[in-house]
Amino acid sequence: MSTPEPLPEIDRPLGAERDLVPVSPASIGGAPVAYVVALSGVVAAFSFIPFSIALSAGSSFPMAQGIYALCGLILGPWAGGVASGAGALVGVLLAPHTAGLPWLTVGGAFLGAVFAGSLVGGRRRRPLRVAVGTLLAAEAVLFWQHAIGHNGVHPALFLEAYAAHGLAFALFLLPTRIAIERLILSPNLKRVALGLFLATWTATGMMMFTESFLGYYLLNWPEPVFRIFIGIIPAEQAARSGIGAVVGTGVIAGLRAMAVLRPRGAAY
Amino acid sequence: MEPAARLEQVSYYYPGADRAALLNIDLEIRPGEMVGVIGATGSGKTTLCLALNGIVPQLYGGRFFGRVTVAGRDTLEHPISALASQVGMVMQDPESQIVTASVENEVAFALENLRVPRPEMRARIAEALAAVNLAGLEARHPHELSGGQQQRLALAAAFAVRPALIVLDEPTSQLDPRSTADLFALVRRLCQARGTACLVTGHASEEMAETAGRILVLSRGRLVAAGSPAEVYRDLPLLAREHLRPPEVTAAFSRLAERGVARGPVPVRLADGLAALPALPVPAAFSPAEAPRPAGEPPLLEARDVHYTYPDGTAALRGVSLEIRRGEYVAVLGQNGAGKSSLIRHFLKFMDPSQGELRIGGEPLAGFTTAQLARRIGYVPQNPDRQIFSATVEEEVAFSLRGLPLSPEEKEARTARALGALGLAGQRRSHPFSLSKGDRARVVIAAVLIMEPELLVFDEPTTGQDDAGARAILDLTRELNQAGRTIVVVTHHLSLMPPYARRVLLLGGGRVLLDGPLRAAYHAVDLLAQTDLRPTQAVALARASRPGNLAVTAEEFAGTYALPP
Repeated sequence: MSTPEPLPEIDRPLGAERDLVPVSPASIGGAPVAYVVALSGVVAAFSFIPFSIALSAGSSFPMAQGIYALCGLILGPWAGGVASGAGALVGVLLAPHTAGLPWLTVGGAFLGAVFAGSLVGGRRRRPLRVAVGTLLAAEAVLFWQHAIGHNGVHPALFLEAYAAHGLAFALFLLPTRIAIERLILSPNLKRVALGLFLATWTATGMMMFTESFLGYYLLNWPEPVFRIFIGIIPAEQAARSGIGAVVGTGVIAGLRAMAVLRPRGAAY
Repeated sequence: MEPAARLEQVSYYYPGADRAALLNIDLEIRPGEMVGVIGATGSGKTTLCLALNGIVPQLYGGRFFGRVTVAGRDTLEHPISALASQVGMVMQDPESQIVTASVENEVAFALENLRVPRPEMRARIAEALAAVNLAGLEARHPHELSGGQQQRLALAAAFAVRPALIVLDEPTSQLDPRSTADLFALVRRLCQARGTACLVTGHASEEMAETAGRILVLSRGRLVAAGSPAEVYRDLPLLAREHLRPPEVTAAFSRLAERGVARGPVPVRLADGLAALPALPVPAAFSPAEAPRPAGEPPLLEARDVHYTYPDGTAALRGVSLEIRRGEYVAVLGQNGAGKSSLIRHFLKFMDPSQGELRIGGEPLAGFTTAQLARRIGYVPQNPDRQIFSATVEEEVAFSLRGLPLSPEEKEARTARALGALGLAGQRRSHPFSLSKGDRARVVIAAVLIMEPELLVFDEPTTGQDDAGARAILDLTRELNQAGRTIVVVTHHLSLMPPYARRVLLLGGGRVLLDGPLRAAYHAVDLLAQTDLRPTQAVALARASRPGNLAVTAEEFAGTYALPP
């Protein structure tokens, strides 16, 4: 906890300073439920907007995918995951045309926010980062084994198809993760936008890799599909990250300006 | 008896702020007491309201000193949800707190959350709606109610909870004069009848003086004065220092007292002022000549027999015909629901008439797109926050120029001119929402001004502004008018308009009830009564003083006693 700034001599309060201990039970990981509900509403609303620059799984992806990471960055991993997942669930029910496999959409929304929350938060979230890293590594091994070892997909094709997701994982594992956090905390909004772009790329890249891994076990798509992914995945990643950067910068600029209570797990 | 609320040495700093929003406030509010809180914009009125139900600091964070207790509960030791049963809130914009689809459900909402048993809930709903004169409208959608009715609904929802304290934060800033007076009277009646303490903030000095038992004056977070309405409103130096306006009756009699015309205590209530008139000498008749309307053809804007009926059958405009000439300054008056907004939306082609025609510069409006009209007619909406979407003041102001075929140098020059004209040059990099409401209104005006339109329409520009802020905005409209622009101001703040508008369009029931000079309109009390717009206190005093006294301001009224009879 940081030491409070000394107050100016003039205007000194006469009353005793009070500790602001959250007294409301209505919070998730320190984020008030009202914030979770609000962001979940935004995710649900964005779920109605198909963002169809490419047709990866036979349908477009909803614009909400661009702000899953934002939920995790603003609310922390768990509250962000709940907001993101609940919003996606509402979206799946009311706008099924923008969701491929409903359970994968909801689970992916939850994971996208959790992965983003794990990107920031310093040492406090190291255990979560270790868990996320282990999960992704295990997925990569199993995916490789199934696609290359079992189905005979050419290794180079696999690597090219998932290069964008690999880049996301690398950004997560390397010190770039710390740089991303610093960019988001910067007072300069252009740096914030860059940080959000990279954070969204990282978190949704890992999320999409997880979804792709699970989807491959379900659908077992043929090798030519990997070839299509080479162009599609980076383009979709860029679109998601662009949405995250534009929407997120506006949201963070507004939250900073309005000076409302910052959720305990927030990274802005 | 335990106080309804007590503040002990309360100070509060918003996160990152180096100036206290509240500083060393000591205050006790007794059950059944109605306390008015006045102060300039940014004086801490809203923060005080939010501190009473724990939203400050529980939701905002920051640094908090001292103690607030409501019905014996420390607001830092109880969650906001628990405090909600003891503190009812009624906010400035009733629409912002309406959450359900029927009047009955709206009142039931808080009761359901507090798990009030169903039979008792029904009884409380009926009682609360009857108290605010909304009985019989249980099934109506809240958005079908007028602004005054919506605010009474919010009050009913707060009262149904039977809290120890009801906090009303500028509840009448969007209401017409009749609804404002009705709401204040209703609050006072309910407080007295039920022993509920009420704290009301706002700038409606006439109503505060009429109804509040005690007035508190906040200045930069400090409580600088407290006393009866008479004690506070008679202290004109204090009010001037704090950019506050006394009731017109007080301003008028203070001037008369200064001149030795009136003796005895200066009244703060209209009835006392009217009662004091017979003791004064007979004033002079006052009926100055009106300035002629600008000539020139064709009119800048015309409406010919314009009708508009909403899809649900509600007739918003019923044959409106008018002409607005270049260089005019027109005030459009009318109560909530009179058709003012519908008329303005027709000017901007947001709505097309069901019947009739509108013209700009002699050409039918139907031939223009809204985008084309936006270059000729600038519209400043009532709530600036709904128009702001950029991250900096500069971006917000310059946004409208994006699609225009102007060089970057011209765009930069126009932006700098607009920012300079509104006194925003030093805040060009600030986030608009970090500014005060008054400054946010200036940002929106600058964003409209940058298009250099011929006609500027201001929709209730003084809503939520303190006296200084309101006059600053209206001074700006006058400067623009003097620079050759045509100005239309939609308002129901009659007391502010006399120094500015020369012509008045009085709307009522979707029709133009009166189109004429401001002085004649302000003294057309029968027509004003039809529109729920009551004459200002200065007009009431002038009319009671002698026939033919057409004064419309406190200064003019006092001045008639210096003229030969």
